[in-house]
Amino acid sequence: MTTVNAANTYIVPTTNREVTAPSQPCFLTWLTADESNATGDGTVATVGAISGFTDVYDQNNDFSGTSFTAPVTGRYFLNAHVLLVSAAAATSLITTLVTSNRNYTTLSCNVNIINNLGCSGVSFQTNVIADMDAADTAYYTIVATGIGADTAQIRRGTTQPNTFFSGKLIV
Amino acid sequence: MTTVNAVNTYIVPTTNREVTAPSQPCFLGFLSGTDSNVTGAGTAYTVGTNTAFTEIYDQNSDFNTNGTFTAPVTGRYLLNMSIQADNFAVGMNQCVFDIVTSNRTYLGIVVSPIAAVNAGTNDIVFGSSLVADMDAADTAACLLNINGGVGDTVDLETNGTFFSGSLLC
Repeated sequence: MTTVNAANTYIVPTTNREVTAPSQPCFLTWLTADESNATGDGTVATVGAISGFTDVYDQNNDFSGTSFTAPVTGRYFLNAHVLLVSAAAATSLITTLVTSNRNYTTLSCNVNIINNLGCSGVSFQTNVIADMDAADTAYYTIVATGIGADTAQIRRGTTQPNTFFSGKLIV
Repeated sequence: MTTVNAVNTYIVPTTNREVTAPSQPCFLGFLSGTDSNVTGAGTAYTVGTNTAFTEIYDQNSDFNTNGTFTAPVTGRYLLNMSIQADNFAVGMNQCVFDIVTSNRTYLGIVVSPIAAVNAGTNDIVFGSSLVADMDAADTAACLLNINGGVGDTVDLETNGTFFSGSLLC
């Protein structure tokens, strides 16, 4: 069985009973290049604002610039991941998945966490099934404070994605 | 096309080819307010016990505001947990946060040097995400256990404490 509407195939079961939905909103995008001097002195950096994203896939073409735009009202699984480096002196790090309905704060440390952990960088991830209305948007921000200047870098990753954003319409 | 059973619409494709399922089990709850003094000296605390969750949505009404999701049907469920904790004290040397399901417990993280890192009134957010096997009537909840303190002084904050899930397949 293949289920179609007037013009398009949207649910495709195979003879082995797997089901795909090649027209369902679903995206994975990877930071195009390292974003230097993004934050550090309290600047709220929108991930992708400097270099942009490169789509790995974008079924339904709903991701553009730094944002995903919901094409229809529903529940969307959103997964945002960022690696921040050159931020050892940061005293506070906050990442936020910003949607039109509400924000999802993922980490806020009033501590010198990177120094204390002996790390050269730190990654953050946010996962949520968010309620989004048609035309609502979602994007990811990070703000570091305490460095004294915006010298922290959002790292792309050379062969493996270090900073990426993915999502899917669930129901 | 809209696919229905006897009484309910359950698959709704749009003319633009997206497909929604407004009756599919799917929930998102935020902690309704600060939940004070829940752990720190080894108390295993189930999030939502003292301070309830506020539902943002709860398709199929499977989520209890005490923090427990009950699977209505056997399947694979995407579960996402985020916990924002603060008010750590010197001596707290281990932090465990779990997604606890009837079939098994999924260990989130253990942070050993937490006393050095987080002494004082500081915040940290722990998160975990997985696709879990759940049988009909199985439950899932979020558990936090911080050890090493002299008292249960750790608080949970609403902005970064939420629990969401959905039946995938």
